Amino acid sequence: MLDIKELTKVYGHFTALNKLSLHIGDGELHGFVGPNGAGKTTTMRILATLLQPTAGTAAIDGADVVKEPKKVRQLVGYMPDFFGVYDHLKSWEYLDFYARCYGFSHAQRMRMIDQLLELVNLQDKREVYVDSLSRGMKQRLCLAHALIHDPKLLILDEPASGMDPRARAEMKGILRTLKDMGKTVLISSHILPELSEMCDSLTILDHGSLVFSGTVEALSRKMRGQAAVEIRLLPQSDDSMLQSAAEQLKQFPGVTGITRGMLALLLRAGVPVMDFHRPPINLEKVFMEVTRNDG
Amino acid sequence: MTVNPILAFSARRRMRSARTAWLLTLYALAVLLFGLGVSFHSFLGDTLSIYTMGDAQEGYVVMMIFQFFLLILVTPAMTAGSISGERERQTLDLLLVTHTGSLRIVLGKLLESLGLMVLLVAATLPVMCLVLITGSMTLSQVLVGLLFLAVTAFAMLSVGILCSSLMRRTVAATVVSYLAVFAIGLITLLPLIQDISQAGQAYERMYSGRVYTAPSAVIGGEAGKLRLASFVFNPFLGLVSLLISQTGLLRGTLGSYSYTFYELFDYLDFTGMAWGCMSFMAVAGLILNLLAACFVRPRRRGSKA
Repeated sequence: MLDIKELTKVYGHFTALNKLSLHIGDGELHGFVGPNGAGKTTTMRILATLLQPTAGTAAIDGADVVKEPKKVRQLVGYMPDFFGVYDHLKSWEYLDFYARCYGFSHAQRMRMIDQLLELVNLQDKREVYVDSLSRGMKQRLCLAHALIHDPKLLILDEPASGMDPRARAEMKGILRTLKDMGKTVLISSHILPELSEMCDSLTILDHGSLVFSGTVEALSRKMRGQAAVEIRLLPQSDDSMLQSAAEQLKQFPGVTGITRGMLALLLRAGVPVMDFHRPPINLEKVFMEVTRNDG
Repeated sequence: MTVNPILAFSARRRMRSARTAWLLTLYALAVLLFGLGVSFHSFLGDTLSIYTMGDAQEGYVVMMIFQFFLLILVTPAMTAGSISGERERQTLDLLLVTHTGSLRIVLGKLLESLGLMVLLVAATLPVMCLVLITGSMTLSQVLVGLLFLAVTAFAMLSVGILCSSLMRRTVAATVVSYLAVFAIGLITLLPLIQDISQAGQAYERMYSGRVYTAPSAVIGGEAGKLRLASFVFNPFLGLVSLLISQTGLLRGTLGSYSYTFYELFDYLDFTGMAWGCMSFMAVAGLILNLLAACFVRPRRRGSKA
């Protein structure tokens, strides 16, 4: 669905995006994570044809974002991180306006507006003026706007930012529904745990460069390998047993990954091991770890 | 053919706003009060006579000039926020990713503002038609006068929309729009110096010889009428041309600025200059709108997102 090759964006002396390469498959829910200024929004704006890259290519379903912007706009639904709404316009009229911008007929518009309002749970707000909706409702309405032309790829830039936990849960539910509908979703956030709960795969950016790209499991495996092993001995263990355990563990300097050999060696040496495990990874810590150079 | 969605929805939003109702009311009220003030002298002072017919023509001239300056005062602000407002509201990106092109966005915004201006001008039609009572003006003349005002509004709105597409902030766009209108007014007056000299030369050639020379021989052209650039390029002088061509008045006023204009009054092509001015404003407006469309996407290559 999405192929990015060595995508670069330079503003004067500042490199916002540095040779980013990425592939996202059909129907995938892909998370885009990184601290502020990592290059998430720049990438998404390039994909939405709002910004031209300095170098590199990006293609959506084979359509190049620079050479075929019209085709790309047909394939992409974009929800920016910050957006405003029009005053003196009702919710259904807001969607009707954008549906007209996409050139839909009156009958098509009326049908899709009701469906979209239902999808984002705003059917009871149909006649309410947009500027009087809560932030969460506006976010959902904007998401509905991004779906008007039935795009294959949804680009959602921090769609849950500023939402309360209930609104976040609702947004997650809607995203799952979209995934079930077969949409490919690229969603950004600077909160890794939030994305890891719902995404199939993740890309972590920092200072415009790719830090990690792969499945959530792969990220977990990678980070678990680096995590310290916690070993607890039986309460009655004396100092000599601890010394023995320490001697045995010297044979495993800088080991990555849980190793059965380590545990077996300890047991053969008669070390009274009560508990041997790696603690579950803390995604907040992972995020801080992989982006630790953030200024 | 479908209606431009930007036009349809901007107009809907505009007409729902209380500000629009106030603007219409105040504008019509201002013209009405002014018109009544002018008419009071014309109609209530005496019985209708040839003199009151002349007064009605004067009233028309004064009201047209009043409306012209009222429009100049109102129009640049109408479109100065059209594109920059979308940027400030952070809705421009949402529009740009749809199938609506930047030219369509600009035209939608322009037509919506122009629609309101036409509504403003049309709201004053009953007051303007007061001059019809005396029979000194025809309806078609009044309508041509209002057309001139509408074309002026179009040109001024186009200046506003270009500034709006160039500036990020509406306040800046509004200030620059008014400055631009003021500058255009001054710059288009510059040919007046050349025009006065040209008219003077024509006048001298006409009367300096022993034998009177026909104006057509001096000025050239079949009609033997002189067209002056400043009256074509400057909107106010264009309006003056129109009013002279319609009423024959303002000879003395024009003469107080240039004696040669006074002398050559009958040999100046006021009708041609008025229509030339309208054409110039229409073409300039179109060019400004095309330029504005180019600047709606100014940051595709450039600055920081």
